[in-house]
Amino acid sequence: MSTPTVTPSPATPATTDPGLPLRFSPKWTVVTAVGWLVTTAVCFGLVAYALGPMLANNDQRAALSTIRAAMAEAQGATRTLLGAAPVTKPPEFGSPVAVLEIPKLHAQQVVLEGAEPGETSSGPGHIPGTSGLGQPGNSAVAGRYSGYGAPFGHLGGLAKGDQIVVATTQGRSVYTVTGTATRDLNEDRDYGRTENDRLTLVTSASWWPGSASSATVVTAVLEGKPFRPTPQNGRADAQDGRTGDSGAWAQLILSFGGFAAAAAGATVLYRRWRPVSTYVITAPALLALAVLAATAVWRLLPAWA
Amino acid sequence: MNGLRRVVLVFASGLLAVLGLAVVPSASAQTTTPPLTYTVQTSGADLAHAQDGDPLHITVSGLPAAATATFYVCPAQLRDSLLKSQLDPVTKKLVWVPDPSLANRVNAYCGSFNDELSGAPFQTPRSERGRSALTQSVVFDTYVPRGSSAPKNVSFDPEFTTLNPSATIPWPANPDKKQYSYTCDETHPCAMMLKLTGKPAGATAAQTVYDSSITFTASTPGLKIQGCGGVGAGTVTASMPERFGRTAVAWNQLLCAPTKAAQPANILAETEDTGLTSFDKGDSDVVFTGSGGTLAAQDVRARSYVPVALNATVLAAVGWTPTDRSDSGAALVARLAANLQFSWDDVANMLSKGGELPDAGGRGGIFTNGSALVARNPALAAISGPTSPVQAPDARAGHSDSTFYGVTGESGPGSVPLTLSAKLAGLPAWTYGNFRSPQGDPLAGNGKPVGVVSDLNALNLGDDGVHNVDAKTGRINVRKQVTNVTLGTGGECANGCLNWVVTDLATATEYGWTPVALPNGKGGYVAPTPATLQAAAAHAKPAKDGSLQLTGAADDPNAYPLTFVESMAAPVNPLVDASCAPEKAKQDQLATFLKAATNGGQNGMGPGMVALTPDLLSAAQDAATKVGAGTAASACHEQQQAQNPGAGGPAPGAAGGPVSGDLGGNGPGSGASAVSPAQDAALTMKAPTAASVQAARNLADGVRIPLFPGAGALAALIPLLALVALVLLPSSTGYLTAGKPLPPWVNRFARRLRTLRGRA
Repeated sequence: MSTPTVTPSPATPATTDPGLPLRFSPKWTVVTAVGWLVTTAVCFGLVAYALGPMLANNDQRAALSTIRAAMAEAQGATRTLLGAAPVTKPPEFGSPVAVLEIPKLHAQQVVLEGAEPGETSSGPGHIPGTSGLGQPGNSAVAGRYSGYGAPFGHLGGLAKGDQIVVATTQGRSVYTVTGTATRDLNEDRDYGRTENDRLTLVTSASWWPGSASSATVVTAVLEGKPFRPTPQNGRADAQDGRTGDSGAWAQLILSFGGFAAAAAGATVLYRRWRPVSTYVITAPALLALAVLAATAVWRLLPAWA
Repeated sequence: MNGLRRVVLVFASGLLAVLGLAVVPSASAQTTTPPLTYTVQTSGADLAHAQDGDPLHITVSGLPAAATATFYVCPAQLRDSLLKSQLDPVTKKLVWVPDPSLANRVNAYCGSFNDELSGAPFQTPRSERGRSALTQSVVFDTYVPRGSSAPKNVSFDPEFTTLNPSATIPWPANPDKKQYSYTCDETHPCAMMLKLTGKPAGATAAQTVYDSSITFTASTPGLKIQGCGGVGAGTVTASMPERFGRTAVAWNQLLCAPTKAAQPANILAETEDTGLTSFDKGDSDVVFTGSGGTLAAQDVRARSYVPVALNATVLAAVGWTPTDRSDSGAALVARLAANLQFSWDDVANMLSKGGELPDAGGRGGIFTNGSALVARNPALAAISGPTSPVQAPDARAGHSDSTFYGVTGESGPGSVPLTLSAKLAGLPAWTYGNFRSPQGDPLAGNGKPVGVVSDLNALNLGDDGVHNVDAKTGRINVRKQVTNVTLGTGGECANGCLNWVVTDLATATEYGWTPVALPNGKGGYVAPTPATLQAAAAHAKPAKDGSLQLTGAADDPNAYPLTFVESMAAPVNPLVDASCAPEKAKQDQLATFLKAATNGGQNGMGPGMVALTPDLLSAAQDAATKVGAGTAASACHEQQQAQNPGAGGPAPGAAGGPVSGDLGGNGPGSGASAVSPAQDAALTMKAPTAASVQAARNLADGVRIPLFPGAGALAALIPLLALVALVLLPSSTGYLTAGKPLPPWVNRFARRLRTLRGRA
């Protein structure tokens, strides 16, 4: 294998001879920093907007399979002589709790328990502390507006009278939309107790992924009687759909640090070693760390982004 | 010439040969008369485990036009010992040979059967029944009998003949003159021997065949829990009206039969008022009732009324009406199956104004020709009396003699009369008719409003043989009262006959009686069906005593107005024995029984009982959680107090007399459960059922989540391109920031692009 030809370029350091030490000229530093920043931003966008929907769908498919099995089991239990054992524990975070269908939007989503960014990247999340779907009281669900397939991206298109159908392991419930509003989220009002049995769907009203105040809120009332309530998880501030996951900082630091190190390493190796060998060694690490870092960034952003 | 002779001989031989062959098919054709083909189907009873009185519906289809049929009760193995005389062709003398003829054996060994249930002969059709022109089948509506045939001698059976041996009849062997009889019961199977006569297409003469394919065994009627280990230490004593028996048996069997364990509940058939008292005093652990605590004489023991089923008061018609036609066009009586339509006035008049003859003022004149009731119901109008149209009102009313006026029902306080009279109270027609003593004096109450009554006996004024409703103790006796019209084989049913029963839907369904449809409040009529009972259940409200009562159903056009909720009253405090020690085994068994009743048991109830709606099921499961939630000390205190309820006294209506119209009202005493907000809330919710989960499954099964979001190839391409970009971008950045030159192919590609742009 021959040594690659070195050709001076304006963006390169003073010397490009392999084996020579790097010279960190200001120009090179700026170009390199800008290059990596652009690369990071593009990776971030690719993960969230291009790769994210596929990842979300993959999670949705798994969740659908799980909830179908749970429904089959629940139906079997209703047919047994002694009925199903009473539910004594709230659903686990991240587990599927309902299938949500919005005919007008041609949307079909599996709702997961919890509304942290980690959950909403897999599908709409049931806000803990609110009633179970199809059950008495106010049941709230938050979903993403733009990232990870944007399941609630067209929520604002719902109007009074539109129907929302929910299927849980208890049965099928139909809600009728009573209003759609774009305003700041009011947790007491939107997630609090209500006189009627309702469903509140929430998402961001802004394209900017960091927006945490302006929300699109859809309220719908239950048709007919609700199913008997089951234990639900308690309310937590971080589980309101508009809060990022501060626990993602650690992941971000580690993954971004790793990415930066891998990027620096790749730069050095590309300079000193054969490109093909360098590519084979560094590309997997860069890919994995880029995805991890981008994911961590999305976890830091509001869950409804 | 010889040649010609040979030709003639050969031709003649051939002809003979052909003729010989031709004779054979001709002879065959004579012996292959088309057979009488038909199909026999039965429904209504499990013939292998039937009980005396179980309805039996026999349909013979596929018979040719103008075919006729009848049936006999025969032993399953028909005796074959008849002899007949015939001329010996050799000796030219009469000799006795076996007579295997089925017709003769049926005549000799079948019939004259006495049914234990009715205490009367089980009358099979007096004449052969013609094929229906409407259904093109012959239908027999009867019931499974049990008992023995009347002993009789059989002339040509050596063992049962009355003949003495002689030179010409040497075979008699019955010096004691014993008589032939057969039995039909659990161990002696019998057959409904069908005699079918018809002329198949292509046949020259009618054929008669006997069919013995319908065999049955019949046990005594009653409640039997089969496959379980009997009563055990943990068995709960459950008082209940008879109507709930089949359901309780079913639940027991579901729970204990698979493991042959002891039965969870021991069924104690009692009227509701007696059952409530037994429960209160601790003699019973639970009690079933359809009207909460209204019939309770005392209610010291704290209880939770757990809804377990829907039932309804019905006025059922039993009998036959000439609405069918035979192939010849003659009127053919058929079992009344359509729901007759009664107005509230019709019902009120019928049940409060017996006594006088129906063709005059009796029953308010509702059965007279041209009355609104008769005009509304063609099946009633078709009934023209046994021998004369003048008797039509009597036949419609079921007035057959001086002791039975056509309406019967169960004696004793119960939810059936209570629900019915609560609805009729206040109607002008709900007043007693003109009843007088044998001396001609008006009876007390004559012409007065009837009001709300809890016992059908209260509908009768005095005991002078004048009955509005001939109430009988127990369902079997009610059943006996209508035996003749159930069979419909007597002369009184030749042109239609009816009797009436005031009962509940479960009983009517079990016995095959047809409930009448009642006004729905919107000008129409509504019959009691699972759908109409469940529609009425939407109007359930908690009463003061905690039971669920249906109010407002009368204004719902889809709801049957006399629906009531069957509840199991179970103790809130734990079960304790006489020494106040908790009975854990019993308590566990009670919890299991309650669970079954409010879950899978809903799918396994007796005939006619209707499953709870999801919201009532929710209330039931909520109420069940309160059972046994109290303390043993409270149970002990109750036990002592219940034996001497003090100044409480009997609740209104407990003796069957007039009661207040407020069903489910709180009786005296301290133990009655008050309505809690939770109870109210439970009704506003529904419990998941198999149907509701199936609806959810249907939705989930219809969801399709593609591997790649979006549609078309682009949808799959975007994430793949993104992945490629993610793989290449950081490496490219690293490559470029390392000061590496662009690869030559990139430069060439860039030049080419520039060239293309220049040309463009």
